[in-house]
Amino acid sequence: MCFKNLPIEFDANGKASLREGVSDPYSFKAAKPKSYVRKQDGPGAQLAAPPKLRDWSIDPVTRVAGALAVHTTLDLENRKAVDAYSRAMLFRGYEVILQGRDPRDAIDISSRACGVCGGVHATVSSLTIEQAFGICPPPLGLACRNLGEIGEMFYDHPIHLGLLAGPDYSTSLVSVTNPELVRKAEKTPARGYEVHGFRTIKDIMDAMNPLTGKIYLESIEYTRVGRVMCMLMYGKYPHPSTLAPGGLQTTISTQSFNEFYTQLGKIFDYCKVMIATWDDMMDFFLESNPAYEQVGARDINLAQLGIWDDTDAYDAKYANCNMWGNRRWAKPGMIIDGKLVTTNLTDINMGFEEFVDHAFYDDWTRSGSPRFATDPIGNPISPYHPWNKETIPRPTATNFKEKYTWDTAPRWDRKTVETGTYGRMWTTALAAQTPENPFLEATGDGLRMVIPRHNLPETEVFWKVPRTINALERNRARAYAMGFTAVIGMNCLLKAFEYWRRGETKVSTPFKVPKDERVSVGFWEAGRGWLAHHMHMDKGKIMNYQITTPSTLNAAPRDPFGGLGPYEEAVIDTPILESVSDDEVKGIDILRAIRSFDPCMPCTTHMDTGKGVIVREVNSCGCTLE
Amino acid sequence: MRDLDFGTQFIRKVEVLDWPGDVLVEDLSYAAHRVLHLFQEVRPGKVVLVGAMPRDVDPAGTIRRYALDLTPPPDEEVQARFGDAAGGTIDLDHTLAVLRYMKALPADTVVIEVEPADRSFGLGFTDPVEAAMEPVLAMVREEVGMSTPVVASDE
Repeated sequence: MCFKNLPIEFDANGKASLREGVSDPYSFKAAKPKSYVRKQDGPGAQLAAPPKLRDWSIDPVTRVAGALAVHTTLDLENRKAVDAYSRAMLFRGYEVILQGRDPRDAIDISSRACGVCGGVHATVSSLTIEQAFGICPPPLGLACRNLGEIGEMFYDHPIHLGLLAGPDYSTSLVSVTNPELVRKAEKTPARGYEVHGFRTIKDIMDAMNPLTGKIYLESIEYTRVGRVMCMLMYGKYPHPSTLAPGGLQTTISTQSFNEFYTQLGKIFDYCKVMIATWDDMMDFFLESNPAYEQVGARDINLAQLGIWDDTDAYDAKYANCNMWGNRRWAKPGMIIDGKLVTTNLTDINMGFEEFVDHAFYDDWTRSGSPRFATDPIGNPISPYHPWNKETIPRPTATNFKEKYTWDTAPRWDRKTVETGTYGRMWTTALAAQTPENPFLEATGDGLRMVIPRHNLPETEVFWKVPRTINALERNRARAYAMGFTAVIGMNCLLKAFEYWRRGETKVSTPFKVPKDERVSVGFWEAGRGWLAHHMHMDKGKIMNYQITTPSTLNAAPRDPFGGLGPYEEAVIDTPILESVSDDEVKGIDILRAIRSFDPCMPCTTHMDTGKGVIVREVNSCGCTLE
Repeated sequence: MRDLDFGTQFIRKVEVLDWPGDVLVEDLSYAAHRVLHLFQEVRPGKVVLVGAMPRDVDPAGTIRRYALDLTPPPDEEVQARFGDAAGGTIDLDHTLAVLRYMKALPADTVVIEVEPADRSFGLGFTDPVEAAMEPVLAMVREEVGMSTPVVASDE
């Protein structure tokens, strides 16, 4: 029984239904938004010195993809953040664009939702469509799709570690906020020297310096390797040209796999170096000041959909999604209060809702009965579920007690959940169900990976599930995610070779666009975690298409129950650990907290000021907005 | 994109023409670090950049041709632009800042830009920008040392 808040129960056969006797099962009474700022109450309050509160709006948050703003209140007396509001600043509108179109268009159009990870949108869109069409790619098509997505992740991970989050730990930045740490780093030997070649922690910090540091510059180089890997399978990147429902249009040859293997080989050593580097850096911060554990900390509530299909299991059918979902290399799952409560995609889908009480949208549930009371196999779903959702933008003035963002508030079982690369490692580790293979073992408390030899020798690493989730652990896990991705890539490549040797060389399946009513969903993951496309089609056209992305979850605002979004929770109570005076505080720990999620905000965005004026046109990443 | 799409449409028009073997015609409207990778691989001896650029000092349709100043912007600006580009933003200023900082442009880098009239969305160009197409092509040919008229490859 995984639900605590929604009135859903399961019979002895595992069949879900709404609890009997609950007249309006999804209704709720909106709670008054909480104020988290400390109040001076009680006797003597009037005489007490006013708290040293400082409002601080970070707009935009730099070194993130897209337009994110965070409004915080810092308590400088107690040196911590006491309030936070996360704001997605731009409207996307892909759901509106896709209405009425041929479903096949969704692959190309939704890909444009993101300038970083367009491939994952195209991929999940093809999953969504093939489920609706009742087709499935041939095994080699699935293997190649897995490989394309391995490549795409090697574009994402280096960007986060080298260009976006890395500079927060560089000499150039830390010397301004905490010069004592730099002095200490100079005298602290780096444990992973034999692997990464940096003698001291200060050397690592130097390597993270923007524009000049070795790690910064190498990360740019490695994005190219990832891109080449993805293009070998998907034709081009970031917007694939060969993905189709039921497989790929790519002309695959032995050379495709050989070239892929060559590129993957380059990655092996990079993974070993990044893991050793980030282990050293994160340990140094935690050992220097254990309070860093509180930076970006929040409850361990994670939502993952899984990625990289078992080519022998996946059949694209919703009715079988628990079977094939659980066979994925990276497992789907919901972790609540640190415990894995389900790995079934139907449970995850059933408990998922989106709320717009604090977002610039109208509540669609007020305009009539929901389209669907159940999913295609009879499990109950909420009126707030994406299959029932209607995107009705309603821009208004910003008011933190009312509406303040273009992001919705997705919740699972009405709880705030975050998602991330680390999340899928977490679910995979706890599920402990890796198939027999030479490279990866999920142990129940971590992941054991054997990264093959390249210039560096074969290396075994172990990512241990952290006690807490915070900025440092998110970043550390992102480094381990490179190894996780590489060893899954090896497994997928060996599988592809196997099909190739057997002469099973088909990579696509013929299809016809059905004209009757269909409902489907693509469950997948972006580099940053959760990615779902929900579709309703009829008469060969899209009736409704809803996209939820990692940052839809992570950048979410408050919900109607008074809960905060993940960024907001992570910022509140983050300590200000800078060793400079109040006037010189840069807020680096707040920024570390936010950037550790790897925010990925809006997409091709044309913001209308109300006068039809295009303020700025960008092609960018679109992982948050409607 | 109307007039602001001049560079992309120019490429579509001229890429089908016969060019000397050592000339690469490329649409560079992708993120700065991706363009950087291309330039690091190709290492061009000369670059001719073509696009629409609103400067609001000349009449619409004005063509400006000049040698690009290769002095990079300040480090902080480059870093910010790198971060933005890594996030997927496609912006010519990002590209120029990154290419200049990384010394990926040759000394012989020429910009040919057209002043747009209409910066809104829509199909086709305004008349003054449409009229700039042929003169810009002639300038590009001159820059790459072509002395005879270029013709479509299928003619």
